[in-house]
Amino acid sequence: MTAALEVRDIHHDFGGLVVLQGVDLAVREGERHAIIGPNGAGKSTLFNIITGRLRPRRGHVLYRGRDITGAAPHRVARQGIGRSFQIINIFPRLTVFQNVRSAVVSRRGRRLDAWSLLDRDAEITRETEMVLELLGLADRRDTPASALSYGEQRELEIALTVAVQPDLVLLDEPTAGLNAEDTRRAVALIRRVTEGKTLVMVEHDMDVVFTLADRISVIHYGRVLASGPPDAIRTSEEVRRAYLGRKAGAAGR
Amino acid sequence: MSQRRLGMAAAVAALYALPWVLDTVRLRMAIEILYFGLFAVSFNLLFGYAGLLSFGHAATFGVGGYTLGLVLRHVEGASVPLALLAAAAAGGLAGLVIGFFCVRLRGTYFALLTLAFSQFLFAVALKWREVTRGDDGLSVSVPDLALPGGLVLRLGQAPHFYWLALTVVLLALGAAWRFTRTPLGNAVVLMRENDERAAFLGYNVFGTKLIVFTFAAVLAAVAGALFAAFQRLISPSALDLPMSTEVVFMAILGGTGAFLGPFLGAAVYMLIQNWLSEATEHWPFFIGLLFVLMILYAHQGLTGLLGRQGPLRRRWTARRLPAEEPA
Repeated sequence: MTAALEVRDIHHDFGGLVVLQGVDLAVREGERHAIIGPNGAGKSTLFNIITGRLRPRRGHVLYRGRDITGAAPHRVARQGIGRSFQIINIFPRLTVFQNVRSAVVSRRGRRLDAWSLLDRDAEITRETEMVLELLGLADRRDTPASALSYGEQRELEIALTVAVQPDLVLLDEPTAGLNAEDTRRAVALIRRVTEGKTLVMVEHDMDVVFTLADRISVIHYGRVLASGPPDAIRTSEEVRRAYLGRKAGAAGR
Repeated sequence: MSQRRLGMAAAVAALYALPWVLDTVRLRMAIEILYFGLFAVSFNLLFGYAGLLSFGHAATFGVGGYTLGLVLRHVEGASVPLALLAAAAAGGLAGLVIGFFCVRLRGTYFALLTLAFSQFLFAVALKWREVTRGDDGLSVSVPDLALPGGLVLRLGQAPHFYWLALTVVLLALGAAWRFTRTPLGNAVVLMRENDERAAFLGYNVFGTKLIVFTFAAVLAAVAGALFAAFQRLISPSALDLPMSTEVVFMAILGGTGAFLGPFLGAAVYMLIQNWLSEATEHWPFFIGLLFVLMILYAHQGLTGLLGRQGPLRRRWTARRLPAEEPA
């Protein structure tokens, strides 16, 4: 079986600063895959390469066997790959409804529709409201996105990502900056909305990683140090030495 | 809804009846407001909707004007509607080419490249004397327009030209208004709000911006064509920098946050300019001062000040209905 996502020998640098030096990664269909590693290990860079924000110096990205290396972000997105961002990336002056609706319009392939009236489109409105319901944002429907609380903006970020109904969901630190309560909510939310999809996420919170992931890859100095099921990662001496330290022990209780 | 439609119909009827109310001088002013209003609305499709600040919007205005002038001059038996369509097409083509290079750029660089293109076209209009008559400009003779039913619009007369201009501008504004409310119009707003995020949702940023740039160019060209037909002259000044900056001011004066804000801005600008230039020869100074004050204290423009969320209206309602404030 071909992997849903395969990353082969990716190299990247920013003007002499080598960030990735030969990353290999395979994510199976339906898997929840977490990528962990210290700050500056190259996790976000890898995400940016997978989703077309950056073109790698070397190496390939394959989605369902198809080479998508260096494809423009909108082309990657249309293949069925959705991503969220570490720094909140939404449409700040549009309402929650308008934010999500924009994603729904795209999913329905109506981006170039220059005739029908968007406000009167009952199907798009219904689908948008369903997404809002699923994400628990229905009561914030008409709030401008910039007026949401930080935790709600995180939820909207995820809502935008899943509203295009991607088969592969990439979440870049979805719980960054959230308190314990909001993190619990976010984890439940992620579990719910990625049901039946392939999930790849970068995450620093080891509790989140070990609750959600079926497989974990550890990136260290631009290479994949280890890749395997949570238990194997937790007990790996190499990983412990390089990165996890006592954090894994705490998560393992 | 039907009440709103009724109101719209009444407003349109009133506009068509203006020639019976206004004298020729004021009617000529109304015609100028019509095409500058359309020009300002087309500019705002870029600035207010797509977030693209163009400093060269006169480029396609001028292309429209010259196209109408050249078609009426050189094409045997060409009617005004045909010349207007040709102007729209030429404007669209110019917009497509200019936009192709400009919309990849952001912010300042976008503005500078649009400026460069308009100055390039200005230089062409100035130097290509055989076609454009250079500095003297191209005189435009406008034939009468035979309408079905034996009616003839004598476009040399202000009321008749007004009816033509009003019809064209209303159609163009209607098309633009409709456009802003479609999914594609929504995509244009995403370009302003956060084009990167839009790309990751599957929107083609370059394509969307190029479409709106081209559409705005078509509308600007129609405005420029009406300008040329009315002035009976098109000269390089139609492509020059003041024309590009005036439209920025009109849009900001009226308010870029409302569809008709720039149209209102064009109207107010024309009226102020008319009144000031009669009062003092230093009128550009006062216009400039007004612009500075608007940018500093009211950059949301007149519609922003008067709108439902505007400070004037808010202060008014707050004073009148203090009980409703906490809600």
